Amino acid sequence: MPDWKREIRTQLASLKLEATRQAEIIEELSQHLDDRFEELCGKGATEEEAKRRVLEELSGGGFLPRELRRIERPAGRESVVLGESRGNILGGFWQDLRYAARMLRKNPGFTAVAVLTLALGIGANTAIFSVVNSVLLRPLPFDQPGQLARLWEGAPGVEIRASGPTFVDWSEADTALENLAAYSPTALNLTGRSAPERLRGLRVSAEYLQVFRLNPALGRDFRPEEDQPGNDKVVILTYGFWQRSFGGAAGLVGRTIQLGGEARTVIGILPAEPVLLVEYEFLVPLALSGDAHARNPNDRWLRVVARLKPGVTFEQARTALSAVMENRVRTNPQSRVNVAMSVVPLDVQMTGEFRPKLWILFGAVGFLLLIACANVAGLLLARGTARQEEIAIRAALGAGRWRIGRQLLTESLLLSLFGGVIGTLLASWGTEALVHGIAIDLPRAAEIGLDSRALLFALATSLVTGVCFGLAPAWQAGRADLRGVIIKGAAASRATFVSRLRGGLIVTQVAVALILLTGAGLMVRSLWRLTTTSPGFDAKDTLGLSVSLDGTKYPDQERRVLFWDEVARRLESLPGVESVGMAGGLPLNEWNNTTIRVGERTGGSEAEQSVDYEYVGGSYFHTLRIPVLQGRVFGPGDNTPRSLRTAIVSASLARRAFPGNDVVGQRVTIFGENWEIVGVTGNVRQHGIDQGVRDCIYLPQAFSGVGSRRVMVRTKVPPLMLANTIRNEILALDPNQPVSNLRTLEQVVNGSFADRRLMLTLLGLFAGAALLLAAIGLYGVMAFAVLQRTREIGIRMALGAQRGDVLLQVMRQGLKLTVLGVVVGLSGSLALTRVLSHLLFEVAPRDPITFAGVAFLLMTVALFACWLPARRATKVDPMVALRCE
Amino acid sequence: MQYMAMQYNLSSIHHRELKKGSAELLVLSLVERQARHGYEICKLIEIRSEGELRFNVASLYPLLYRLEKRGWIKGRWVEKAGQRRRRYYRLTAEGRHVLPVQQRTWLAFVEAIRRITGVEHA
Repeated sequence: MPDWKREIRTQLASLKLEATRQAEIIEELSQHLDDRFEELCGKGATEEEAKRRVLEELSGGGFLPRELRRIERPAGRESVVLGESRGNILGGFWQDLRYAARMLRKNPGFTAVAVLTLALGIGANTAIFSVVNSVLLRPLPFDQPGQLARLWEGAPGVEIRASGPTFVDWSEADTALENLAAYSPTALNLTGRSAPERLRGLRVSAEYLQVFRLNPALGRDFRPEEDQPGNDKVVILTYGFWQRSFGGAAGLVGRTIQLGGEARTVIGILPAEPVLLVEYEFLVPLALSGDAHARNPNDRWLRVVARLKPGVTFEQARTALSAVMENRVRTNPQSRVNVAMSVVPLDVQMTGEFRPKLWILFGAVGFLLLIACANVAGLLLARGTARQEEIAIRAALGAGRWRIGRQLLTESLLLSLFGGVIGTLLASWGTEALVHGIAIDLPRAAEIGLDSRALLFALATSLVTGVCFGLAPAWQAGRADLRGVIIKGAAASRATFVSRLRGGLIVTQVAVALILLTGAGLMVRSLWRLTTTSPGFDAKDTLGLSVSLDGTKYPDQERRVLFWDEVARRLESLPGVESVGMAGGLPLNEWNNTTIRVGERTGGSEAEQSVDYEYVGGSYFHTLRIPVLQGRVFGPGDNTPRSLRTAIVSASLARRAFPGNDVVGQRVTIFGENWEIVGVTGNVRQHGIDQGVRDCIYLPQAFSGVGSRRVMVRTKVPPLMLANTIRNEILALDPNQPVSNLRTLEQVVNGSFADRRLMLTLLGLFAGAALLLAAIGLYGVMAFAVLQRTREIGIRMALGAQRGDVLLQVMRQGLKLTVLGVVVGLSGSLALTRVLSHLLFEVAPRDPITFAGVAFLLMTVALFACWLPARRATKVDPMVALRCE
Repeated sequence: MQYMAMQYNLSSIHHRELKKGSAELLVLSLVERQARHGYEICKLIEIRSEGELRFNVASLYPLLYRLEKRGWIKGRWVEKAGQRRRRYYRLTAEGRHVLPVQQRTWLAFVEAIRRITGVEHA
């Protein structure tokens, strides 16, 4: 049988009919021509002849289009979508789009809910992605960043800073490294201007900027000879500080400033980008050879960065550097360098501890998007059922399954794109909030922002999302039985299918929500444990602040000791102050590490202990309320440079180094000197409340060579009330000594688990949103089910069913889905909460209390979501229900 | 044979009116008692007029669509077992009012012709 459709379409082409109408006419006319063709063939005409005659009748003098033009209306601006010609896919897509827009406009309530749900999912995902992208995915903003590495003493995973001799050894490994630089943070006072200012900076070895292939924007880099004591009175300023304090004056280069009590020549200004040194104000030469403790192989305080030679892998670099160190030990067994070392890619190093956290957040927010998708798919399915008639008519008029599916998919995509646009707006706001929430704790925080990659991600997410949740309704439409459309009874099997699909979506939502809730629950339990675990000291009512003495004004220990004694005396005499203690750092901050030898057992490695050490002064132990378990604390007699060397050890060190012995009176060797232990104090979690207790030894601060101290003041009133008084008291003692970093120890403690708090906040937000969406989804399904069963419920009630029976029956249906979701979710949680394990504190990833708690919470919410529609079902009036068909 | 083949001699204007009116009447009459599809209508006209009157696809469907547009007939797609779906036309309530009027007009016209032609030949 010839295909007449193309001929007919040609005839009708000039009429520009609406697609529906045209398709209808073509179908009808081509059937007629089929019949006519068969008739002619039946009368003995050849197929060729019959075809020719049929076409003659069709075309005869253009009669058909001429007559139809009088009757038929040309297509209006919008038309109902039906079948379409293959050659007009773009036009068809445009038509789909307009139709979709019209359908969405017609249902503003549905559209708003769907778009907002998607915006929430896409927005949250884009915000987290922009952080992941900036922090983890984008390469470091340096030339060939893949060659940059951080070097550590200690086996991989055990990161110990390098000692001076080790750094010198590494410098000799020129086969693997292009450049190598050591640096150490420092703080110096800027004086000679209106008010003294405490500046943060880095002492760096000469090649520091070369490692990063950075050149100063103005002036020049350090010369090798400037990295020697005596020649080191030069400084390079960071761009931000230069702008802030000197208004970007170009004439500053070549002039001198008073830094750390010395005149230093400004030789250069760093470029504005990259923002590597955003938290610092200056760089000064390290001048290592002049540093007393630079010669001690047991004093590990240098941070080391390196640029690997092109083609050298991190493992090859490690092998080469280890070989150098082993060689040193062989040639000089007394050098006592640590032969183990590790080479860590710099980007991994910078983002290391945040990497898993960000991926977890990214995963969690992906789950949220999954729930949003399932929710909108559920909404679309419900609407698809309501639109059954419309779809049926289209199918009856000849629209193919693919065609209807495509139309529905276009609607989904349009929804998701709207959601994407609003989501991106939410994301730009959310990213900002995130960065502020994280503050400077997150590496590369200054680089975080919505860039083209994040926008592309938002677009891709929107499209993928649109396809994902659009597939269910499109599939639903695709399954529509053509006859089922006309013969109403056939709809039943389809309804079952759709309700199963919606049920499946609910199970997914409940399961995923449960996983997120479990994650958030575990974090809540961890944080609660953290806040209730004692760090070993009492942070309450204590103020911490930094004071740094100028080397020129206080060149020797005697003068420094006098100054600190005077600070303690003056502050303790202030009303409201209970006691004053001093140390090199506040608790929970970085501690220095060294190796001590115990008692007379020299030489044997079993007698060596790796310990954290701290120089303390004033009433340190009393101020921090660290209990004294044996012996005594340092008295004034211990804290002068001429005092006998005394030490206090932590309980854990006492137990480990002197098992079963009386500790007080024992001697230890540190930095080649003998120290007598006079007391044992309680353990302190000095590296963080979530970290284990580490052995630690306290030495009198009179033996510290460092002029910078943290002063801790225990007050009888809220500590911040005394902040200004304390600051003024120190300035009264020496107006050139700025006081900085004023904060309460409670702030320090809280800050130490700020990242956990942030994880909890975000996971909690995602979990809350997930719970809400799942509840809305469940409510929607139940409400729809009740609506569909109004008649059935009416009949049951007319036959004598009690309201309680109906309530129970409806709720049973919802609870079945919930329980299934909870079971799936619990199994998912068992598998997935493992990834949280390193974030948890004293809570097992499979903590039964958390699991039971979240399951209970979810069931309660689900019960409520089911109860609302179930209660409505019990209000069904049997007569009204029976009349409604 | 553009529209229909009717073999009488009239001026072209009269011819067209006549054809139009008679063609509408034919279709309305054929779908009065039962719904019929286009090809069926076509064949019935041809058979019942013993080949004197014939529609083709180009002439019939514009007529059907015009009648449908006026609301005199109504087409509906019907699917029968084992067959392709077809569009069946049936007379509407309005069509039922129109049909007798058309029939009367047509009979009056034929009667007038008969009277005239009868007198001439008598």
